[in-house]
Amino acid sequence: MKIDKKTIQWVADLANLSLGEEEELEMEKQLLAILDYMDILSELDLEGVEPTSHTLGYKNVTREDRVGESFEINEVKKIAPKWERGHFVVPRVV
Amino acid sequence: MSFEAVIGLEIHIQLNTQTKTFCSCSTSFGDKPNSHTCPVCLGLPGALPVFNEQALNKGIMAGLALKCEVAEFSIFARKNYFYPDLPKSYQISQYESPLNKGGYVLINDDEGKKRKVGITRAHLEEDAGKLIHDENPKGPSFVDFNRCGVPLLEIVTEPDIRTPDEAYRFLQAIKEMMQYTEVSECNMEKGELRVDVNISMRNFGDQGFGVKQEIKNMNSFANVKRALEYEVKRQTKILRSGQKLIQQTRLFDVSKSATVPMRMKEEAHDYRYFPDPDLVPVTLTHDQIERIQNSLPELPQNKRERLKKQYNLTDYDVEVLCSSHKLANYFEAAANGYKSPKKIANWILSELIRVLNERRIEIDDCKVTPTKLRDLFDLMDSKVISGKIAKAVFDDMVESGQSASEIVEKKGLKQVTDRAEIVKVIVETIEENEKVVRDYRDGKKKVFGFLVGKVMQKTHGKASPKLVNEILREKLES
Ligand SMILES: [Zn+2]
Repeated sequence: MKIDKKTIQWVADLANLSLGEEEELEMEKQLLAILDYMDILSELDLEGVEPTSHTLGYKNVTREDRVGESFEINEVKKIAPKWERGHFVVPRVV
Repeated sequence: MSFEAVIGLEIHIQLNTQTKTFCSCSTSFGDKPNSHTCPVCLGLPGALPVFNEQALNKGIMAGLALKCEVAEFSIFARKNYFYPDLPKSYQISQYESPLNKGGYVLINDDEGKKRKVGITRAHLEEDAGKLIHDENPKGPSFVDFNRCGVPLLEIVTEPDIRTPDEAYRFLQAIKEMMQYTEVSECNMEKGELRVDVNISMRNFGDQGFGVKQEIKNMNSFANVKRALEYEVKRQTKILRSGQKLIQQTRLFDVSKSATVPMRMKEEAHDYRYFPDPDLVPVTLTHDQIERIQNSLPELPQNKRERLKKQYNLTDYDVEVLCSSHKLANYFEAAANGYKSPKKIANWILSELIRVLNERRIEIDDCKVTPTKLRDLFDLMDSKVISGKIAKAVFDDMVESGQSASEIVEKKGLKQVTDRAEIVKVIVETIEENEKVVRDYRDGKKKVFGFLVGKVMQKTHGKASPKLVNEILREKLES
């Protein structure tokens, strides 16, 4: 797979990152190396092999629908970068 | 040229659970903002989600009610995007292997013929937090994460719906089904059912699709219908004039009764779904699915057909009674073993529904239980009270929660069936209304009702109407 500057900017944008020109070049190099590495996989014969969705081999881990402990409001307040009138405050979105 | 609409829906339904999808925070509504939060639903580093078994059960039940194929293998995926109501910067949803696929719902089309609306998929996902915007347009936004992580079922239909009315009936059918199976309470005021619609227009008879418009996030069926009606008109007008539509996301503005383009930041849209490594696959055996299938309660359509046959009711009766499984169950509990169930149905459809509406209460909160209603009917049947008095007694029962016989006893409402007593009142009435009596005897027969009214007034409505009629006629004719 080919990676160009445009792809790097697209991926950075999706990840909410702003990269300088040098960083973009650096990322391009690193991502290319990763993709090259992944290409090794395509050399394998994967005919009839189901895609893996989980690596540990567990399934059906569930819990009972019973209410447990939640944070005290004061703890939540401490976590919030900005807090006002019982709410997290964020830059306006609309 | 005539156009037809092609409509598909996406419905988000809140699953009826005590706790959130992946943590044990409460789902209860209306509590202090951000009081139902924990490391998992706030997306703190290192927190590990664990799936709520009840969300799974409800999801399977919904799938079966929607005649879907329930997957024996399903996984959760991360849907990645940035928005302040989503603390993890991804929503846990299902993408490639959803829990339910390929079902259908039967509805009536506008001619009253049965039609299938296909269900593409019905998958599990978690809700986001709630954003509140400062009154000042330059002010910030505020987030309450109590709703964040609450389990949802997203039902996606095939583009099989053709008219706004069909969409309305389809939503009604979905709501009834989810309530019957107790998958969801579908309380619209609490935002437990939200609808996105896709609508495009095409030349009548065409098989292809036109340019679609998406209208997002409506929480009333009436608004869905109005928004669709507006879109049909708007799009038809544009197409008639030879212009082209551009694909848009719109919102329904209730105050304008119109859809308007949604203001959106120019953002990259690519959700980069991938399997969530924190959550393990869900597998179900054929037996497990079958067991849940067998435990499904009777669905609305079946209940309508059965009640109609079993209790000799009309289409209208069962339509209204079965619009809520609670009302239908109430009816059955009251009518069970009673000689004329139709009378009970009539009472529920008139008196009971009236008091529920007047008091804005649900049937669960009504103090008159089915057994108590039956007692009231027994008093009527044994002529202890008249039908008219029964209505007053019923209102009193709703208010006080007392039994019919207690109220009749306490207020002395027993029907007067003592002949001598009624004769006495009638003789009095005849003496007091000489002129009217003369009119009657001169052939003005319609004043009879007036005299009956007078007698009833004197007895405070307690005289047996049958006896009053009989004796009064006797006295007047003699
Ligand atoms: Zn939580």
